[in-house]
Amino acid sequence: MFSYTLKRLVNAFVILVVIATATWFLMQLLPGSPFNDQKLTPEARAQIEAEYGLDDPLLVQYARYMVNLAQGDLGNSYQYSGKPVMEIILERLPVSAFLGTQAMVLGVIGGLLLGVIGAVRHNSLADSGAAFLAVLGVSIPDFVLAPLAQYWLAFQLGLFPPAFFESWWHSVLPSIVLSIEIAAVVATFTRTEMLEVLSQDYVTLARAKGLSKVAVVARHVLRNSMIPLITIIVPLAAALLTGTLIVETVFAIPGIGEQFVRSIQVNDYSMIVGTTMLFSVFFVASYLIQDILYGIVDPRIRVAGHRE
Amino acid sequence: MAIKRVRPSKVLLGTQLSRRDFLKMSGTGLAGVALLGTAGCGVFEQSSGGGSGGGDALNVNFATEIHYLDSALATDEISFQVLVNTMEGLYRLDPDQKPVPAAAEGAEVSDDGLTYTFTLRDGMQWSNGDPVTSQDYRYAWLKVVNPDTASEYSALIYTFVQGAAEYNAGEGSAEGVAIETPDDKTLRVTLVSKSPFFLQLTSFPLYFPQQQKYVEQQGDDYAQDADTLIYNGPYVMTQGGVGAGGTTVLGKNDHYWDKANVAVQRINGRIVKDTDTALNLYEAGELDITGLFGDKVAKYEDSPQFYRRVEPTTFYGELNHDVPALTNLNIRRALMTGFDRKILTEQILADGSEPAYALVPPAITPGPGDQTFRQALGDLVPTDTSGARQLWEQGVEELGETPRLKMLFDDSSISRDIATFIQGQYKENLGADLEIETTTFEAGLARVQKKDYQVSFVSGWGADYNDPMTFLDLFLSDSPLNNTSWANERYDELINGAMQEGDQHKRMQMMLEAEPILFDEAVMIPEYYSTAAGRKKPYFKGFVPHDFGGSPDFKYASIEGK
Repeated sequence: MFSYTLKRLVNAFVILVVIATATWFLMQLLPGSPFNDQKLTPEARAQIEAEYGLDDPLLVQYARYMVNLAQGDLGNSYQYSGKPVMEIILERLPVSAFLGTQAMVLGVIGGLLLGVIGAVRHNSLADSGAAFLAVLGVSIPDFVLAPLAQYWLAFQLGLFPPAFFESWWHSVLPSIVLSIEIAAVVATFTRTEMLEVLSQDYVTLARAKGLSKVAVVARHVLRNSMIPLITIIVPLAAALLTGTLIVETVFAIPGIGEQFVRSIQVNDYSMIVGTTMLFSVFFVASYLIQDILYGIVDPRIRVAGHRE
Repeated sequence: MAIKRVRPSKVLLGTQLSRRDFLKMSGTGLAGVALLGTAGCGVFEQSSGGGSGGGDALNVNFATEIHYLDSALATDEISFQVLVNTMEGLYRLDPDQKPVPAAAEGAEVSDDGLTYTFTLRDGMQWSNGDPVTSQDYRYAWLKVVNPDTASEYSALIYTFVQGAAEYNAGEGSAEGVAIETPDDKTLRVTLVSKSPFFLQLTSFPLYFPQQQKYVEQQGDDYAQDADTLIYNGPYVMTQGGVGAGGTTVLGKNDHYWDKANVAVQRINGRIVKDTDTALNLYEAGELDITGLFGDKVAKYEDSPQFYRRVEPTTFYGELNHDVPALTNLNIRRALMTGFDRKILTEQILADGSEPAYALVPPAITPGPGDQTFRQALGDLVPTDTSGARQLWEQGVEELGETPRLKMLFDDSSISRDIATFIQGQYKENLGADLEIETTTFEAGLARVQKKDYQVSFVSGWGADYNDPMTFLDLFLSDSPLNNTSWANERYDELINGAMQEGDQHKRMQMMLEAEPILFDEAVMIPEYYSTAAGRKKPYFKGFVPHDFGGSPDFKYASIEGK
């Protein structure tokens, strides 16, 4: 298990270096510069770019960037008066992460319930209902769901605060909106997987040995249905924790998600790299966790890894 | 499948095992949420008393983060809005947009119109109690033009102040800049040219003061948030900062010289980026004012809470005179007259913008006598498109071939609509096929400045000060902002002459003679004058938007009958 994890860690590091390099060079292809103001004369722009070292040869700029990155310095934002990117991330990430975690918990619980109902009452009305809800949840995009939920549940019915992030109560509606898709995905996968596992010989054997149906579902079926679920959930969690453009914008929540898009639009180089690296670290970490989780859920994977 | 026949109620609740399992699962989940709630306390914004809270607070929507609080670096609307409400320039715009003495008691202008001597008010203080001195203004202005500051808008000072351009270009020195402080209360500035709008410029955020001692003491932290900045304006910032996502709070400044005339105790600047959310929050009473965009303008046009004003901003197309086909006057004229601006503003933009038939917008108020510049000259582009086809055909004949021209647009959805509209109009009115090329706004600007374009509808120009010159000097042959490569001796002579002319009447006459040259020569293609529209609550009185510098100005605001 240890060497398996170590190997994964080395892999993760290499991937991050590749991502950092690729992002940086791709960024150079972005048209324009962080200083695009129309009132900026070409002379003034040259002066400013010299001031920020943007006129140095590309390789010099790249080396400087990698050295800083290695020291954990993401640089200063161009759009926010030279504020360190790390500071901006530290201010905003907790907000997005909180929202994402809450949505994850809600979504997974809701999804498992729906999925189990669907599987054990296969082809019943409840199953169709659950399937209908799941399809709805997957197919309604956030940019429709978020404003609708906000308009009806907050503005019209007054059940929730409509926007901002001032108390736990403010986080409930956006979390529910974010959790719908997760619940739908989890429900669909749980149902499909459970149905498949239910048809396995060992389930029949377990029943033949006299185990109660319920025990079979809880002990064997659910656990063995989890593997594909982990494959879906873990990257989804990484995406959620690092913020979401639509929900943060609609509910006026100061998270990190909408800053990512914004920084690309305005050529804020350090913010682009900073947020991209943040997402990458989360994704790489999530795959690491996923691999380890596989090992826990299905010991065969762990063994195979160990042998490598 | 045996399991299919199991009754679900039994699965979920019928046996101890399953109940325990599900309870465990839900329990863990709930515990998780509860834990999050506790751990999450830090992530929530301290309730700012925002929302509808407080009858003496105004809730406004900044719509975006503050980008700069350092007045030497700011370039965007929200930074300007915060700065104009927390700082005091030598002059401030009044509700009629006229510059009135603010930090200065007044100014004395020398006979040649070049030297301005400002006298500061007695007893003015920074928010930390320090006196505001003339050195604070000199220091801040020099900081703007210091090449090391890399201020994007430095031209707004160095174009006017003697010695500043040289210092900014790295050729002169700070001492060579003609800003003197004979004593703590006197500031003397000598200008390059006669600029009757200079008093108004001193109300622009770039001209706000900074205290050297404080700036140096804060170092890199200076003007990063509410606690690393001192203020001398009507309000002080008590919460918020650069890039911060929460509410910015401005509280009344007890050290402000004119605090008796500041009625609102507190302004909450919220950040709501989604315009529909903002409109709903306005309806719900959580915002006291909100902007309207696109088709929402027409929807609320008749509401008593509606406001609208045409900005001193002209959107226009540029024609690159380095392109052989565009050296032909008839081709240029055909392009200039070839589309119906009324349809453009009423059906395509439909946001309250007005059709433009000249360069200097109607919102620029100076002009000959009682008239504005625009009133005096009227429209300079024919409103009728019927002559355009003949011009185009004549041009094609003179060129000996039909030119293949490309029009550059930015990739926003409204620009795409405008692009298709203009393309269609040229096809219909000229019989000409022009190609559309789209790019990001930033890349478009860069290409236009490099003159890598033929016809560009990428941008417009907003006035920096209330004078036709802020538009007319763009087309000087040596202006770094002239992207058309067009040069005209008479035009240069008139504009340069107006810059040196001390007599306001003669100066105006020169500019009045100059602007029509742009249209005789069909140098550019006016599209529309943009508009700002929105809604505000009836109890929000004294709403004073400014066309120049920061806006709105809450010094004049009050809340009555809420």
